[in-house]
Amino acid sequence: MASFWGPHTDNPEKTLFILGALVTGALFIFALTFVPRRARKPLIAVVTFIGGLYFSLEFLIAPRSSAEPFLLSKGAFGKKVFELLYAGLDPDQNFLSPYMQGLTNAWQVIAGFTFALGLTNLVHIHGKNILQARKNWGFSVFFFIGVIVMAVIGFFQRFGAGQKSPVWQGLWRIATDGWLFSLDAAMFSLIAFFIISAAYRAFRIRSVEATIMMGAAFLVMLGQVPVGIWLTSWIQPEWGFLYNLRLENISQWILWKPNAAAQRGIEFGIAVGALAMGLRIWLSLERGSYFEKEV
Amino acid sequence: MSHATLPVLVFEGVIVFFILWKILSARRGRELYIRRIPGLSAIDEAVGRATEMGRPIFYSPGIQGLDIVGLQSLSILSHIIKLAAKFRTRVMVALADAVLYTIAQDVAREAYAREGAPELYEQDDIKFLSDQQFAYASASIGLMSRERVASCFYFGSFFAEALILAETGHHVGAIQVAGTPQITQLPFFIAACDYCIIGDEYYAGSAYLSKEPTLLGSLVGQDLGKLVIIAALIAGVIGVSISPWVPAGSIVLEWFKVGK
Repeated sequence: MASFWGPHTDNPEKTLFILGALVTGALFIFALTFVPRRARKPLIAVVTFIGGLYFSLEFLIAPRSSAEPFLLSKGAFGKKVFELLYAGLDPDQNFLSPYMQGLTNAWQVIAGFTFALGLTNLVHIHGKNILQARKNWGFSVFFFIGVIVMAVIGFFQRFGAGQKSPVWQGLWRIATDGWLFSLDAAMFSLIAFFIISAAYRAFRIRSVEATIMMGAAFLVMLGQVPVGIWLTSWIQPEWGFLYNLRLENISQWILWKPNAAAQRGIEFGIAVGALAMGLRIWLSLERGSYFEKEV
Repeated sequence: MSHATLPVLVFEGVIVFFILWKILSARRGRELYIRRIPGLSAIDEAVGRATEMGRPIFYSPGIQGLDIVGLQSLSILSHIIKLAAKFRTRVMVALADAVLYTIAQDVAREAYAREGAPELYEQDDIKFLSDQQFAYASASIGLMSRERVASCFYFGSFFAEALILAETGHHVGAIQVAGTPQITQLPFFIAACDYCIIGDEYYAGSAYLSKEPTLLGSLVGQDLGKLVIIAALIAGVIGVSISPWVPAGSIVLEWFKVGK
């Protein structure tokens, strides 16, 4: 306990940073509540624009490794600009890069406060379930037991004497390896069964497209397993073009030619779509839902 | 840290120019056409079905936090809530990110208020379940099964939980509409859901549903941007094909080279 609330032995500044971030974040959020309603939307627009401008320019402005040869070839003026903007930076940095980590940390601190709101919502819902004895209220009791037990064990195994206590360390292993990871694994294993039921429905021959998909999937799967490879292993490499008809080659061709081409096509569309939406949000041009109302 | 190369700068500049140009021309009143997207048209059908059956709607924006994908998801959520509010149908939203949760609450409250039914807003229906992937999946499928939801919507970033959600939705007999820019999860949604929007259709969602001139203009700009990419692809293919014999081919390839 003492090592958490007191100075950290490994890094004494850590405590000050944590407390500083906590206090500054709380003050910042508290100050925002005093902003008049009329000014909130313009404030969001301005902050979004400045933030977007920073990240865009940080990406678009050349790093030192590219700018250095160019600027130094431009004589005394270029050298002055280089010394002003790039001196002392890493090769992959431009003059905006050093602030990136600080801004990202600030965002994480602000986002961290919202976690308390999420937890409040859970406590509210499950607390109401228990107090009003709603259907399945027992699950809500388990929620509280889970949260409290994990928090207590997690806290004591991490700080103070618990760091070296075999009891707390053992309890932590039971809570994580024994409970949490096992439950995670159980949920993950559901996918194996769901894949079969979903694939059964998807591969039913109902249309030309479904038939093509089933045929392609059949060939790809067959080309990945030993029996499939064995089936066409009699086709020899020296047979030239016919060698392409071995099942593993057909499988690889389907995966890396038509399939990869289609995926890249979709990726291009997604990238352009994301760029357009990012642009609209940056310039406060987005309309509909959250962006239209008076904040 | 990665930074833009000259080709990236030029391409991005051209695409941004097209998008802004089309947004401005749409705002000046130019009529723009948008093709029918079956997955998005199915939203009305799914909301209607839940209303007829008198059962709730389930909405999941995925497990990623506040980003472009999440914001687009909230736009679609807003449309669905407005539609559901008209018929007084309950919408349950399951969230895995605390930041998105706070915004989703606001979006829901606002959407009900806009439809003149602020009393329909239930704080408990906008649920923060867990920020752990499988805890979220587990809580979501429990919710879907217990409430016997009639319609499920999955719009956002999904990972391994996608199939768990979609198959549970199928087993409870819900009509399901999904959309994600996550290419690895698209096959699962296509296999398990009734309607699926793919690729950049996801980002066309708000334009398609709202018919806002700004958004429609942006969509046309995106299409022009895609034409630029297609032109670059063709130039690249020609460059590769002719580079052994024609020096111009090598120049094209050199210009497109990544990581200069």
